[in-house]
This record gives sequence, C-alpha cells and structure tokens, in this order.
Amino acid sequence: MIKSTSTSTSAAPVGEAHPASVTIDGLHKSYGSLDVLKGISLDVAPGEVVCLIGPSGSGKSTLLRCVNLLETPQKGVIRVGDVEVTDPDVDIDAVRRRVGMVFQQFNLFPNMSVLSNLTIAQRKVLGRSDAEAKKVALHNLERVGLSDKADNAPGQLSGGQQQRVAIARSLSMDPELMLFDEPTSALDPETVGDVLAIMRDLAREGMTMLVVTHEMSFARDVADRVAFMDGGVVVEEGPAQEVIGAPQHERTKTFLSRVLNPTAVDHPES
Amino acid sequence: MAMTARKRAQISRGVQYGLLAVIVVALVFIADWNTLISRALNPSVMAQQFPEIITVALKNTLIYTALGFAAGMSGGILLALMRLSSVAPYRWIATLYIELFRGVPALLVFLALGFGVPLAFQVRFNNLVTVMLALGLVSAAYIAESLRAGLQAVPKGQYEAARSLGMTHARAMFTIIIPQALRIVLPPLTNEVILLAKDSSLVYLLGMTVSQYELTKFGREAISGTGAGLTPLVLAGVCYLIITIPLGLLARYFEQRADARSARK
Repeated sequence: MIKSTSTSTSAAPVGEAHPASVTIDGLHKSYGSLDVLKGISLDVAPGEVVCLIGPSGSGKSTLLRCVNLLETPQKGVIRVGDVEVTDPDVDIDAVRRRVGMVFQQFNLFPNMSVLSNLTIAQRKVLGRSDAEAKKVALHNLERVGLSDKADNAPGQLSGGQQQRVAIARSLSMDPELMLFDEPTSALDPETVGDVLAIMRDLAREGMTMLVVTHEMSFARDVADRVAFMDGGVVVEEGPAQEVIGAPQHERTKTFLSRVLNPTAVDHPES
Repeated sequence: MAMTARKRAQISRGVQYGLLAVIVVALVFIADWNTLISRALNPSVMAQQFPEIITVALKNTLIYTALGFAAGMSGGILLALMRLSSVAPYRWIATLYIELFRGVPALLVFLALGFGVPLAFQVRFNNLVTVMLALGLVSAAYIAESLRAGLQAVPKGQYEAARSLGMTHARAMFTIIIPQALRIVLPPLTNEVILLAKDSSLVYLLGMTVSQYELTKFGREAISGTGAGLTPLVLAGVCYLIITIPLGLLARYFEQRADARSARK
C-alpha cells in the first residue's frame, strides 16, 4: 500500500475547474465481518468517463461513495487529482468541494426553492456573493434545460427534473470530477432519457465522470471504459464496446445477458 | 337481514347525538346558576381585576414563558446535538441530563434553584434569571428529545448531499438539517410552549413582589385578599387560553405554510 510522504493537501484551484484524474489502488472496505470491497484498483484519466456496472451488492456504490469519503475505506489509496483523499490528514471538505455527487434519490433540499438549492453551497461553502451565486445557478439551470423552474419547489418537479436540478446543483460548485450513483434508477422510464442526455453533454464537455449505472446502452455509448464488478472486486475492465459487446469473463457474460435480455429464461447455474 | 349497514350506522350516529344533547341539557338544569355566577363568574369581581390582570399578570406570564422557551430552546438544541454526537461522553451527559430533568417535577427544580443553589454556592440570582433557568432547565430536556426525533426523521440523504457539496458537519446541520427538523418538531414544540406557559405559575415558589405576579398567583392573591370566590381564577384561566389558543393557530399556520412551500411529495 502506497503511503503519501508529503502533505499533498492543496487548495482547490481558483476559477475555471480542470477535470481531475482519479486513482484507486488496493481499496478495501468492510462493515464488521462483511467485506464489501476486496482490493479495488481503478484509474480514471482527466476527462474520462468510466461506468461501474454489476449486480446489486457488488460494491459499486460503496466504491463510488469512498471516493468522496461518504464511506471510509479501511485500506488502500484514493487520489483525486494530486490530493490523496485517503490521507488521514486530508481536508475532506476541501476535497468534496471539488467533487460533485449525484444520488439515486436526488436529495434536493425540499424546503428550499430550486434556485436556493443551487446557490446555498456556493454562498456558504465557496463564499460567493448572492448575485454571483445566482448567476452561476441560472447558467447551470439553463444547461439542464430548467431555467423556468428556478422558483419552483423541488416537490413540484418530476423525478427526472429533480435529478437534472441535482446535477445542476453539483455543477454550480465547478467540480473537477462528478460521481453519479445510479442517477436514473429511481426515475420513471420516460424521464430517464433527459437525465442521460445531460450526462452525455457533460461527458462531451470533458468532465471526468465515474458513473454507477444499470443503463447498458448509456455505458456502451458514452463511457470510455467500463468496469464490471462482482463480489467486491473488479472482474473485468476495459473499453466500453469490448466489455459490453464482447465480455471475456463468464460472470460478466451472465450478468450482461440477464440485464440486456431480462425476459430470457434463467439458467440455474452461473 | 332487515337493516343495511348504512342504516345501522345512521341510527348509531343519531343515538350518539341524542346522548350528547341529554347530557348537556341535564348539566344546564342541574347547575346552580345563581351561585355559580356570584362565586365564579361575578361581573363586579371581574371588573376589579382589570387592568392589572392584563398589564401585570398576563404580561409577566408571557415574559416568563418567553424567557423559559429561549433558555429551553438553546439548551435543547445543544442537548439534542450532544445526544447525536459521535463523542460518547457527550451522549452520556445529555442522556443523564434528559432523564433527570424530564423525570423530576418542575416544582422541585424551582425549589432547588430558588433555595438549594443560593445555599450551596452563596449566590442569589435575580428572580427573572432564576425563572429563566428553572423553566429553561426543565423544558430543555423535553425540547431536546423532540428535536432529536426531528433530526433523526430528516432523511440521511439530506446530510450526505450537504456534505458532498463541501459543507462542514456544523454547516450541514445548521443550514440543511435543523431547518427541516424544525418543521417536523413544530407540533411537539408548540406543546412545549403551552406547557411552559402553564408551568410558569410555579414562579410563585420563588417569592414575588406584586409587580412580578403572573396569572395564577395574581388570581390567588385576589381571592385571598377579598374573599372574591373563584372568579379571579376563572378569569386567569381565560387569560391562559388567550395565550395558548392563538399559539396553536399560529403553529398550524406555520405548518401549512412550510408544507405549501415545499409541496412535499
């Protein structure tokens, strides 16, 4: 296990954010006697989109949540850009400022307007003025096509719209890396496309993205690389077309055939 | 069967209305209205209570309640956060405090503060400070438990979203979690203010000057001074309702406003 020798904690860069890389090396996470991650290593280059796929309980979400320390791994190293996130002395709030997170359940603040959802962290965390925060927020609402919803309450929006607001909220912090934890799993099927379209735009703009998803067509079309996880390890990893189109491992094949063809008769083995 | 379920329900409801009417009528006839009015609702005695019952007694009850609530709310927030702290001794202290002050009658806390503390520490607080402390110490325990329940009722994802945006623990609590918890605890908190308004009657234990009388003491003094029957206490009771009923309405208004604003799913 690599141990950082210097104090690598640095302040977030000023102004326009540059996409950051992610390096994960030998990551272990367990809850009591339950091993969820058993030595994960994964690299994401700046501007790269990596999708994590795999059955539920495989550790995908836990891995994602380790990157911004919503979960604390027991062993291993995670770097975001030049900052070692797993360094015990790291300023975790400074890291999270640079890392956007989009949740399955959106987690918008229900007691605030859409606009306030986007401005509150800008003002309280980044110290931006009201006017500046509002300008950034409106710009990002426009990016997700919801400029007309600024004064609405989150509860008045559809699930897909709420998720787009959640993405805009993260973008308002000018992140260098975006984490998506099953962003479309809680959505009605007809709103999934809008959310994926925005993620597609983001990928095209060069954002570094780590995406846990069950949307295989999105993974195949948008991701640069796909990592298939099962049982707390990365079973197979490579270019999206290869992993999804021509998987090498038996477990990957079984999983993909089930996901891509859910009505097929299940074979008892696997 | 001859009767439908609907018919039976109608008859049952008719019987219930009838019973209620009989009881009310019976009470009206049984009551000795002459005595009742002269002893408990005597207009001339009532007139003597004004304006002091408003300008002194009602005002003081409001002041004591407000002071008690301010202290109780501050202490309650602190205790609730301590109960949820990751530092074990904080949790123990908060739990111990809550169990102690929730379990001991407010009367004993007043006596302890009014007489025990001055003896033990050779300090004598101003009455207003003692009132604030006594009411605050007791209500903090109840408020803390309500707040804790409210804080825990806010979905975990709200905290994670706030932290993911770079907020510190304290910032996330105060800007995201606590405002949402307050909406949840508004009904029990309203209860607490109403209890405080009534508990403020215990202030008499501390020994008050006339200008410090609150509603209950004011009413009792009026009785013992003049042999005025129960009228002053009835009037005091009405004054408590003047405080508590609008408070209930105000709380309901805030609840509806918060719900309309967030248009919860």
